[in-house]
Amino acid sequence: METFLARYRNLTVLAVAIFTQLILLGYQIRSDRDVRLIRIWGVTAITPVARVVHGGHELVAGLWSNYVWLRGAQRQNTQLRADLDRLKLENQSLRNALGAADRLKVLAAYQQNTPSQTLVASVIGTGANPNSRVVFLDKGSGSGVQPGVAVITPDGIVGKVQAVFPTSSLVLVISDSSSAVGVILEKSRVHGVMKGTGVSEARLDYIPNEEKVGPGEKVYTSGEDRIYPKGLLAGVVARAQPGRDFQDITLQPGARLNRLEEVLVVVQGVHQDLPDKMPRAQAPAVLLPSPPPEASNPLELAPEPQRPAAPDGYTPQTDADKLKKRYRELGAMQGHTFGEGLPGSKPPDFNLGWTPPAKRPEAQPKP
Amino acid sequence: MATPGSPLDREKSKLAQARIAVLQYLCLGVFLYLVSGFWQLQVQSPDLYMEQAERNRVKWLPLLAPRGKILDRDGRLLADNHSTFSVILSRTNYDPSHLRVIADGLNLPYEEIESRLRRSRNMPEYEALVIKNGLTQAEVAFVEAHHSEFPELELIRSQRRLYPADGFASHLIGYVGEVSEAELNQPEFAMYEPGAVVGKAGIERQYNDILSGVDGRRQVVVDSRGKERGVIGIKDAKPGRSIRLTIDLDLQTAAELAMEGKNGAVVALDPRNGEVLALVSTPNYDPNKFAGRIRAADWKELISNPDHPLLNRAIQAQLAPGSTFKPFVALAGLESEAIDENFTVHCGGGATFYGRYFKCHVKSGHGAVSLHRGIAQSCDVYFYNVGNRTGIDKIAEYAEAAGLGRRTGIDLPHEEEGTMPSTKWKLRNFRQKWYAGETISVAIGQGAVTVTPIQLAVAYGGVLQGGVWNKPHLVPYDEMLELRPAFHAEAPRVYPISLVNEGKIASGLWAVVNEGGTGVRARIPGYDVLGKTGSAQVASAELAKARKTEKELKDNAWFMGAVPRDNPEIVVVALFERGEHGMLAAPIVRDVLKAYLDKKIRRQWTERQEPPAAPQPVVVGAVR
Repeated sequence: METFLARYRNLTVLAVAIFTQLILLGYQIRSDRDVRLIRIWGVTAITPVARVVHGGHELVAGLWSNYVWLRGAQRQNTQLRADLDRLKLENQSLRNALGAADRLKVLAAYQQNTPSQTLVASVIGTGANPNSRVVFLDKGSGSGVQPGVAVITPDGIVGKVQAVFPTSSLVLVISDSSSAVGVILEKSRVHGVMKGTGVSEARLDYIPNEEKVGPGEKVYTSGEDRIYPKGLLAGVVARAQPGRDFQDITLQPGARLNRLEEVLVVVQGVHQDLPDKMPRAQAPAVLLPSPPPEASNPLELAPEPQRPAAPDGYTPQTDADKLKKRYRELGAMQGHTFGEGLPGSKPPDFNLGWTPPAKRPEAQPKP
Repeated sequence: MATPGSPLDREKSKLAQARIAVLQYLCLGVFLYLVSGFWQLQVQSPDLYMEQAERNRVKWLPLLAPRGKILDRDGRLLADNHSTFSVILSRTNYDPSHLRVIADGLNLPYEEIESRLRRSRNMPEYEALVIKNGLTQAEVAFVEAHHSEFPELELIRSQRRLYPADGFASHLIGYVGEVSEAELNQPEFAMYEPGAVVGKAGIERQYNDILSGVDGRRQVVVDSRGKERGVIGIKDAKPGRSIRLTIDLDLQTAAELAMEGKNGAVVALDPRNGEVLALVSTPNYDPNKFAGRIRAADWKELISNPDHPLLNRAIQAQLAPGSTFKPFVALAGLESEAIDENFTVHCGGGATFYGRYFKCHVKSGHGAVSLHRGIAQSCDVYFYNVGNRTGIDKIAEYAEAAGLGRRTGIDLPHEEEGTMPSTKWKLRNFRQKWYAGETISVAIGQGAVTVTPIQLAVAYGGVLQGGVWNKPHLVPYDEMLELRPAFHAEAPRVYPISLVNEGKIASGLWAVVNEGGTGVRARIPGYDVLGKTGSAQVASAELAKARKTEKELKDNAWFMGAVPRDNPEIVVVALFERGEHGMLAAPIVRDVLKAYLDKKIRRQWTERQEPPAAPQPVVVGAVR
């Protein structure tokens, strides 16, 4: 047997590898897990390596830029120039450190001010699939990250955790075409759904054509998707135009999705109020005259006076609702309480204010 | 060290061979296991897996048909649709472990999703199951945001029913809801799948087959993430047909406003053809709450409300008509010649019949009372005498001829029939003899007699048409012929009534409103309005006296009004529960009649383009 194995060692190794794969495949199918085992193991094995590579890269880049390159320059320049360059380098280095410290400070301040319980995580990689927009974070189930939780930055929301590994997690970014977020418009407080498009801009769906939406208006999370806590900045309206059923609105996400470094994972989300509405626009100085009334059905009652739009936005109505409102107004104008009346009291006049249609010219008899 | 060939070596060699053998068998076992798996996949049932893979690739998405609109006689909208979303669950690839989270996100009880899946077992598996209609904005956001986790969920566009606000005409229009398990077993709903939306009450239920459309479907190709990548085929949905009703929105509105804050009903109809012009029942309910799925708390509130808002009082309230019954007693007396026009009674505030004293509603009495004055003043003593002379069976004959105590056949579900007692009725139901003393109470619309508001309106209309009763209906006959070509309009019911006697009754009804009778509050200057008040006791006089302040023991108020006096075009009946006196129901009817008359002026202006001639009051006592 040993001789046999020794003789066909390569073949044996190949067979063992294939068998192992097949057994793992079988186990994977039968265990019915959402995430592939190989992926879990792979990610778990690669994450420390990625972290080391990332750190190493930073070290090498730092060494190269901070020392090696300067040493070459020192040889070619005067001592004074060398001192100046070294000082410049030191300055730059301090600035970088200050920038990083600022970012972390902003993050820490935001983390303290937000009512949700969050966890700081660093982005350690991006997905390889060109059709999906995902990033890897350096925090996983070991740090308390759970699938389905939101990932945010002080600038805006980033995405949701799609899969969790022991030391890392995978985040589906809001710009992915399968991402969607329940949102609310800042001014009108109309609810809609922000959807990723696969590129840097996002789409805002289900905003009725009647709603007034303009570029620059902010869009916040509504909390209705049960992922993102309410009140977080989602994006800003870039363009809006009427569509077939709803408006076609393009959004610029608030977070800088292509330059993510440190993010916050919302371990326990708490909804918060939306920021106050923008101040009201000042009254216009000049107004156009009202348009002439449209021709109406002659059987209809006198038209109701023009009214401002309802503050809560568009409400669908039937003709019955409109007529009831009109009859109520007619009753109020005459001091009439419907269904009541003393003996001798005057019945209501439902033709009050109604003007008969103009008399048509009589047809001339044909000769 | 052991030498080769020693027993120790042999032992070691055996052990090694045994280990190798175990390893070999283990390898063989694993190999056979894998081969059996491949055999199952590739040979035994490849079609099954191929089909499953295909199902993951191809999806059937329903296209829900919009329901037909409900319009008034002038084409104005009573019930419309507005765009909304439904969510469907793909039964081919759903994961049972997701259902609890899905139920939570969609605000559905988990058990309900389970029961829906159970009920849909007989449906072809490729047909997706609608698990919720009329999604809220939050539910839409939930489904959209969890598309990657729950690919089995899909949003589809649908139409949600839009009804007038505040329960306007709710009992008339009815409401829609998801077909129940019990309904699915009925032949009427056999063609529906679980989750389908059907009419549950009112016109929505009565004409569900016309208003319902036929759903279509789309076959689409989806990618591994469930995202739609292309359309294979579309079967368009067939929208439901709209229905135009006989209801006049102007009259309905006036009646709705007049009944605000009161419990009761209003029915207005055209006695010349049976077209119902307005039908109101209060308290009402908001049918919009039923349009998606009614919340358990709302449903509980509706069914535990002591005022029973779901009861359509216009066709289901079976109550004593009180004095509104008196004209039918008079008609029976005149037709059977038990009395004549000159029959006069002295009312001293009450009279004794069969050893029992019966009071009149005017304690001091009316003095000498004729038929004309008896109706105008609604003198109880006069009608005790007329009833006593006429007898219960003659009263029952004419009341039944007028349609009291029997269903009118109006095209609304669950109409009640009321009761018209007679000697036969008592024998049949109680196996007891009728006592003459019981007739005295029936003669003033008390005792065993009960009617519904629609019955009373139809009955008066027929009498005032000279004995011709048209079946009340809510869809015009010409519209019905278009909707159902096999439809046959029912011929009016005719019972011979002397026009002279009918004129005497009409004269009394005219005096009720225009000669200082009990219904002066219904007077409309310039028009000859007919009317009759009715105050029906709901408790014995003694009990009412003892608890006079309690609202629930106040009399029910009725009023019937009609215009014009000759060949009335409209009859309106109002029931004001616990209204105390019929005269307080008269202004309700006046508002509806005024809305009719004012609209008639607008119509005449439009048609003739000249002002209508002012109506001339008819001379008192004139008969046709």
